[in-house]
Amino acid sequence: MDDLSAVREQLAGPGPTTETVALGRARLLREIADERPPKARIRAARWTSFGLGLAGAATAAVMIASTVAAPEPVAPPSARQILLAAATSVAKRPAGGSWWGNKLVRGARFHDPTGQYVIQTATAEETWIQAGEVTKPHWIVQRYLGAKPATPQDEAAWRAAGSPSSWAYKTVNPSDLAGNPFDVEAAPGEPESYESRDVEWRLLFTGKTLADMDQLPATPEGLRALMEPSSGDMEGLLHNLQSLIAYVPVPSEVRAAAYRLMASLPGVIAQGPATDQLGRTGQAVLYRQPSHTRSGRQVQTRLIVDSATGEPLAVETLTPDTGELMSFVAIEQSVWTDRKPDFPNPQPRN
Amino acid sequence: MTAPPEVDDPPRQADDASVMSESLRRPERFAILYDRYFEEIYRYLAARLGSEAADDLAAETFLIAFRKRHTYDAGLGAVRPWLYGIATKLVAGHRRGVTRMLAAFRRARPADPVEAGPEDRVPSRVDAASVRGPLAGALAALSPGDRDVLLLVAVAGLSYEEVAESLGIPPGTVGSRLNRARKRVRAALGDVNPMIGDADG
Repeated sequence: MDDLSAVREQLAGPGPTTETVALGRARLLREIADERPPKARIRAARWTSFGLGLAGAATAAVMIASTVAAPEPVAPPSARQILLAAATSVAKRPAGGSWWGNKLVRGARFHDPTGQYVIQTATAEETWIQAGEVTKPHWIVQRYLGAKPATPQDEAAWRAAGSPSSWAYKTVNPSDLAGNPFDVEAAPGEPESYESRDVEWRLLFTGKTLADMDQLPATPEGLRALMEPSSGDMEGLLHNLQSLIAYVPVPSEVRAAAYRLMASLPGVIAQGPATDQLGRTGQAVLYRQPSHTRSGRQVQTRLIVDSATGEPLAVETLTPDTGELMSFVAIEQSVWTDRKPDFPNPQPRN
Repeated sequence: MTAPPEVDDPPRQADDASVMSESLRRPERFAILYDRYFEEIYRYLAARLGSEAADDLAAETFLIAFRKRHTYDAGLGAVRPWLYGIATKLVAGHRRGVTRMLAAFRRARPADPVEAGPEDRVPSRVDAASVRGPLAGALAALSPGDRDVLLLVAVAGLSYEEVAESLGIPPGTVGSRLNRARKRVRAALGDVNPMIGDADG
């Protein structure tokens, strides 16, 4: 037997279970079913848009009137009010340049290997996309910002454990060949740049390139027709709206329309003032989403918006019951430039 | 009464490409490709990342392929290597995105062993050398690019040409990466026939 056969033999394992095949197939079929915005649906959406548009205008009038006449008792702002306020305050943004950069800080919390306290890691991530074709390569610059105990209480437990500066997680999966147990380091890392020739999915789901963002619908009804995966799929619609608001450089009218549409959806509730993980304060709304890591479970998503500018500050994932932070994406900055950005420490494509 | 009807099955590759192009107008046709290739893509991913990750990533491979089907270019290669290319990227992303994928879980129940560490959510890694002997150690020590080529040939059974298509690299590079990888593997096996000698010695 030669070396290739030895490799093949050693790595051979059982095939997928019937259940795995069926689940995967169901996921694909759902995707296929969700994909089609055929002509019939678009037309249907247009039919209803008149009614919705009038309703929207009426609410806007009520909003203006209420600031004068205050027909309702004074109460904390509703989710609707928060989002409508964000919609009206969305500032005009300079949208021009051949590169767009989206600077995010991503973070997550998890237990130390002994389960005594919780640590929080963060990674800065810049995505640089060229304005032309969706399929042009884009770049991702990542820098690991380090790990630390999540809260003062966790810090005390961490000190009691001898203030470790790295955490080793042992193996659970004997057939993995990556070679090392998984370590989390407290110390930050160097930036690394990755060129990606994959299509940028955030942009593709709008069906537009960066240069064509002004062709996106600027009405709640128009956006709904584009973003609702299938009729009545509120979770999918909310997810798409959240992505559009947080991660896609749309013109201010489009983002305002996204806020208006979100304000009209059931299940979106106000939380009031909230501070994101970068220390910035804004107004927060909450809604439930399916968990990405555990099928069948739900999480709460918290969208924090800057009440002055209408800019999104963060999208956070919270536990469904206690509302504790599980992971977050803070939107640090969205930048346009004509100069090719720096891509430090480019990594080989593999 | 003569030949059974199956004999006039069209050549599979040409057929795959036409299923792809039909699926642009009739998306449901894409499920044919799932039925044809899910199992082998699964086996490839399971060999590289274990069955738990493969459960998810094999399905993900086909979702991505479906969404990307507009960008598939039959001129650049057949459908099967294209699918392996997507799966291989998922392997790389699975590892590279470690921090990003450290999705958290409830701290409220630290006693629950399932929830007690992120390892069931992060790409679970193992000290392969201790588990599988010298071969695994050698595989783990390869550069990602060399490992991709070796495993696409050894596990997936792709030809040089197909590996080149799936990774978007020249065939010559496939050859040199494969040679390098095989040298390491042979050295690790100590030229012992693993069926007879004890490779774990």
